[in-house]
Amino acid sequence: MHELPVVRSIFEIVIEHARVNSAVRVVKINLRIGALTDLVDQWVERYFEMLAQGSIAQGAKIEIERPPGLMRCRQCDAQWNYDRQSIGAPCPQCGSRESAIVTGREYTVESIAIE
Amino acid sequence: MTVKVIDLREPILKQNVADAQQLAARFARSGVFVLNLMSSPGAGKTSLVVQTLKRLPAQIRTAVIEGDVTSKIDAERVEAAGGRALQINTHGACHLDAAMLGRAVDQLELDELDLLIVENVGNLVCPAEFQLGENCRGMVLSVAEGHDKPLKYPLMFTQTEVLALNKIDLLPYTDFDVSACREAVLALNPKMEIFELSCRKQQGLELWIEWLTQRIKSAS
Ligand SMILES: [Zn+2]
Repeated sequence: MHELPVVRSIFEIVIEHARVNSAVRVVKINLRIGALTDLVDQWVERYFEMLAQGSIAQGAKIEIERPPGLMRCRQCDAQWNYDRQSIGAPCPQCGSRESAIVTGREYTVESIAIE
Repeated sequence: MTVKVIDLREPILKQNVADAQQLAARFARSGVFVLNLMSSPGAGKTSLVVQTLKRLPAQIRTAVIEGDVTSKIDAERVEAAGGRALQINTHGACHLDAAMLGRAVDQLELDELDLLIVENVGNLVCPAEFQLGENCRGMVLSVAEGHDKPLKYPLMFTQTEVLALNKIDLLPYTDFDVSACREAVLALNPKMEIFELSCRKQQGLELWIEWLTQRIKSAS
């Protein structure tokens, strides 16, 4: 479970920016997690609840956006979306297995909503 | 009260990225080549480290940092190879991060080393996310694990540059398909160097040692 240190980083980023913006409360946190990266929603919520207790982020809602990854064929340049299940699939246009990962590594705190 | 949305787009692991950059600079100043070795539990990381220490040219000064609580490097073997073995207490964490590694590195004389092997915690999910300022990421996969592993842990296979396929002496007893594995790995990462070897039977290690020696030389 690598969620705890990851959630601690999220918490620190959120608190830092909430302070800079003189927030009294953090309402919502939007995360963007790519198809290649691992993060279990339920653990994120649980750890965040634990870490945020007594802070201005207590009770904040966490929303995780999981954009599909983009793959490109090295043979014919076709591009298509993949998820964790379909990652090894051949090119839908020419059948080649020589593909390059274009996106899927997103791992960011996109935005926070504060009061 | 009005709700205000603030765009951040900030990398979640930015602190680790910053720590890793600092470490990378330290490693570069000292001219030490740092290999971050990762695997599932039981794939044979420690055996590979031991075989590597035995076979590397004597003039390559080596230290090993052990983050894997389940394995233990024989300190005498490391010392025989002119190096040191250090164990990191990860306090149960599933990966090493750059700050942890930095504290361990403080105990070493980096300038007097040519090679630092970091044996990461045995797991293929988490370490992929955490850069350590290493020169090279290596992975040990054993044929007992199944050739579909690359597709289960795609990030790891895109983030490493060398793969030691260990325990090939067991191939007759498994349904592991080496060519299917190669195909899956190279589809994710066409630049991956793949070495088929057996630490137990001491097969295929020469090519690995040759490759590693070249990489160490190019870092100094
Ligand atoms: Zn194609």
